[in-house]
Amino acid sequence: MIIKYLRIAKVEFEKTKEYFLNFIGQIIYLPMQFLLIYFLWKFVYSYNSQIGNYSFNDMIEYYLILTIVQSAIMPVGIITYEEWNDINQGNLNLYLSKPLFYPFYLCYRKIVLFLWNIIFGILFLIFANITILPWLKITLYIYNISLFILSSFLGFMIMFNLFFIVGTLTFWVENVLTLRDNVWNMIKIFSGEILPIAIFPSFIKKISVILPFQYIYYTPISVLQGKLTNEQLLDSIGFQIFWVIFMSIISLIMWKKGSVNYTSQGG
Amino acid sequence: MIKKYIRLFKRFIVISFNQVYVFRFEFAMLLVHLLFNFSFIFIFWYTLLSIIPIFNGWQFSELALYTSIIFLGEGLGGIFFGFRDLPSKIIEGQLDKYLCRPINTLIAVLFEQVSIIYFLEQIIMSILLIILILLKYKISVSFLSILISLTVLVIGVLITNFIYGILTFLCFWVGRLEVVRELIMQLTGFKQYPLTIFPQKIQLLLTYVIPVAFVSYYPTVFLLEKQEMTLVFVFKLLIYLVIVFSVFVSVWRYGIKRYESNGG
Repeated sequence: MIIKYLRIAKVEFEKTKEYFLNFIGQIIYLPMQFLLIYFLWKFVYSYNSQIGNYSFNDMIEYYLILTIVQSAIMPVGIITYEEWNDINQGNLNLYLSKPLFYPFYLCYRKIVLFLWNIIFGILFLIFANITILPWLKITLYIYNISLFILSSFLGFMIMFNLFFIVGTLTFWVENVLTLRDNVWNMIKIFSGEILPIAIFPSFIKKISVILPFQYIYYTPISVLQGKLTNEQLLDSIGFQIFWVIFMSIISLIMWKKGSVNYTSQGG
Repeated sequence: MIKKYIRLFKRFIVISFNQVYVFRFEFAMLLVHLLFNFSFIFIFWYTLLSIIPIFNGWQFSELALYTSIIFLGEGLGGIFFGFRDLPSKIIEGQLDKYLCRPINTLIAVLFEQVSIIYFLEQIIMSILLIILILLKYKISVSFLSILISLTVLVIGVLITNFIYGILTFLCFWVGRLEVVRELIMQLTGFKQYPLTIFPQKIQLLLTYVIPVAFVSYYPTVFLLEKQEMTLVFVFKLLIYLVIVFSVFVSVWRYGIKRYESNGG
């Protein structure tokens, strides 16, 4: 049981060359993205020295950490396409006939990628903190880095389940790709991807509280930035665990019901 | 000749519509998708303007209009969507099927790829939104300013997409260059914000090198009459269009001669 999954991990690690190039690609884009963020927020902070509990440095740091969390979590978004493709093209037969549990197989492959990117991301952050961006003064201790990795992993699991649920809908509605794009957009608004949730107007904050999206990016970033008190930290990680369990149950129920209806087309 | 292309274009619209409409659920989701695209930028501006009262002389209504004009430009530019995957087609030798058709190769590549229905929806929604904002916030605009704004926008869309096309065609010589192309086109992200918040040198870069200001800032300031259109501006814009178009055509012509159909 364990050996076959170790082999899958080995295959995924063999692909790390490609991942590494992707990572480098993202790093190349960083200066341009940061130039834009820098000018925008420099302009905004010329009116106010503090926005919510974010100083100018905090805000730049927020977007820097966001880029790292995104590089680790975002690749999971392809799950919907892979699932949609496997179901519609009949490739699912291949997996169903193997001694593999398809949802776990999909998740496991992406975990390997997540670990690779988050480790490189943290190394990049340490490097940037020492060399190119020392003025940001990012506090990096083993304690908050460990909590950051844990929180990012839980965020990753929430994202995986979201896109897996959308992909599983293919059993009933055949084309789910624009629905997936809409989920992307919801994540964009409510996960802290555009702006930190704390500075949004109260009506968006209220909506975010009842949705799982802020636990994808905003919580891990806040953990690393040390923006949460111990109580808030426990609450946030508790909510992340709750959403992971809840959504995993939904994913498995949907998969069970959907895969029964599956008819192989062209497989 | 033109009739043939109009007929072809109509066929592509029908095919594009059928591709989407066959999945009713997908069709509905497309509309929701567009609404989302608009909404999160509005939320961004709304939030920012709740932090600072006025954004470099721009009010929320004007920024909403600014965003709608950007979306209109993106909708119009949708016709060039096919450039995105052209490098793969060239490298994998997939251009063969277009080369043996009795129509212009570039037009065939572009028309086949574009989701016409999606971009038509985007254009219609952007126009409706512009009208709605003008009415709701009682912004008065003259017919002339609409005409100037629209002309600058269309020329801007052509210029930016020709530049994107030129960068894409370079793959005839250097193979995969999407990372470099996207790196340069990352500058288009700057169009989301009014030009005047950036330092002077960046403003020049966004006006003359990667001229994204022509698809966002200038059409809006001309519509709102925040800036007067001068003859020098018209002259510069037209010269720019002619130069970029000439380079675009030349690079395509030389590039297609180098096409070797690897594995095609």
